[in-house]
Amino acid sequence: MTDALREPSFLILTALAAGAQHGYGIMTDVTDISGGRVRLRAGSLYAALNRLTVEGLVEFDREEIVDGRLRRYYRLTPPGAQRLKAEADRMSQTATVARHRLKLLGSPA
Amino acid sequence: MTSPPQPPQTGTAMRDDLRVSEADRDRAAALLGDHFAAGRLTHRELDDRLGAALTAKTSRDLKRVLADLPLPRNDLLELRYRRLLALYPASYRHVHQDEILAVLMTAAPADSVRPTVAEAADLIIGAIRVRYQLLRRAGLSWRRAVALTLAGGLLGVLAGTVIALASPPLPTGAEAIMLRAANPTLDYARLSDTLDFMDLRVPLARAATRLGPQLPLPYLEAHTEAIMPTRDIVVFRVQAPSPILASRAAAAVGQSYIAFLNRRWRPQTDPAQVLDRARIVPGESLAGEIARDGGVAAAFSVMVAASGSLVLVLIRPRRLSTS
Repeated sequence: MTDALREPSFLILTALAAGAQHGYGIMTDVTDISGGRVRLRAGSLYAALNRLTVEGLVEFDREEIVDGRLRRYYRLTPPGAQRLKAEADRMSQTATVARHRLKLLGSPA
Repeated sequence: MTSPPQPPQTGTAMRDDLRVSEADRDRAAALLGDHFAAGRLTHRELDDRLGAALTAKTSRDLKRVLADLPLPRNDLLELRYRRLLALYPASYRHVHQDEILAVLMTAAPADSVRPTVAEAADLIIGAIRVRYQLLRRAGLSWRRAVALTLAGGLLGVLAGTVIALASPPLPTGAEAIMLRAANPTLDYARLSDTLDFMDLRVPLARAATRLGPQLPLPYLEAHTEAIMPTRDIVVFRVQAPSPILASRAAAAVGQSYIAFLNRRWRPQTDPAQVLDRARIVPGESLAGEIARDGGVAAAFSVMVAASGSLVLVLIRPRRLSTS
């Protein structure tokens, strides 16, 4: 059994599910996806990307030079997409149970 | 036409004629130092310009000194980011340095000239995580990894102490919070411990009594920054007026802080002795461990930067007992 994805990894994979992106693009997208709750900094982003690459969930896509600076794009691999789907299913299943039980409890939430 | 009624130079001329403060002169001198370090000025040019900068009366005088040098902001900021990126393993840096630098420079606010403490801590932790990932991939045992990184010098010491204890991989701040929310029974220290962990008043007061009148308590309190990027690591930085004072402060603050933790944890080693024996030379670092019941209760690394600040990184393993 694989461990649950950590939230930053989950968000990074989610960002890449829309297509290949470069580091800064992933950072801003993760902030958007999480509604501003998670703001990845460069050190955390690249440590996570390194691990996801080693695990084969993410791979190098292409490079561009913009304003004299290197942009390296990353994309989701098929195992990465599978993993993201499994994680999303697991989360929504848990959320469904939580909502159901809250309803039984008669909570206003 | 929209040209102003005054002679076009007036506005600038007036600003240029404004008298500069001591802080302005110091800032210009620091910039010259950085340009010299980057190889843009010869020793002699640096001397001449420093003389001119430190005796400058008006803004124009300072501008003249810096006129043919690139804009400081990007340069300085990039230089500082590069210093932090030097923490990453060379093989990783070779492939990723340029892209990470691009991300850092793009994300930085327009007027920033130095990384924030949080950002610096994030890069330090990032470097440690990447080192750890590489070593684990190479199938090294942590003992071997520590031996290797200890041999690697200043930055290796920092990483080595962390790698020794970082199993499983260290979470980032956001991940730590997420993990805790997901699994409240995870083996983190209790919250009350954490609060004590960050309470610098007692150790700083103790350090101040050791340091004497040169670095009194109000100064230490005003010049100490602490950050806890994860629940297992505390990074704190004390600014001192000179490298020599920073070196003394490193010993006093580091020792007091660790002694303070010792009393709470009742470990068996007294790392105060380690710090006492060693004079921490600016630009060098010192690392040690706090042992308890035959296991490692915490590890620390102290560095004194040549700029006169000290950084103490203290790492608590998640499991205090022997495994």
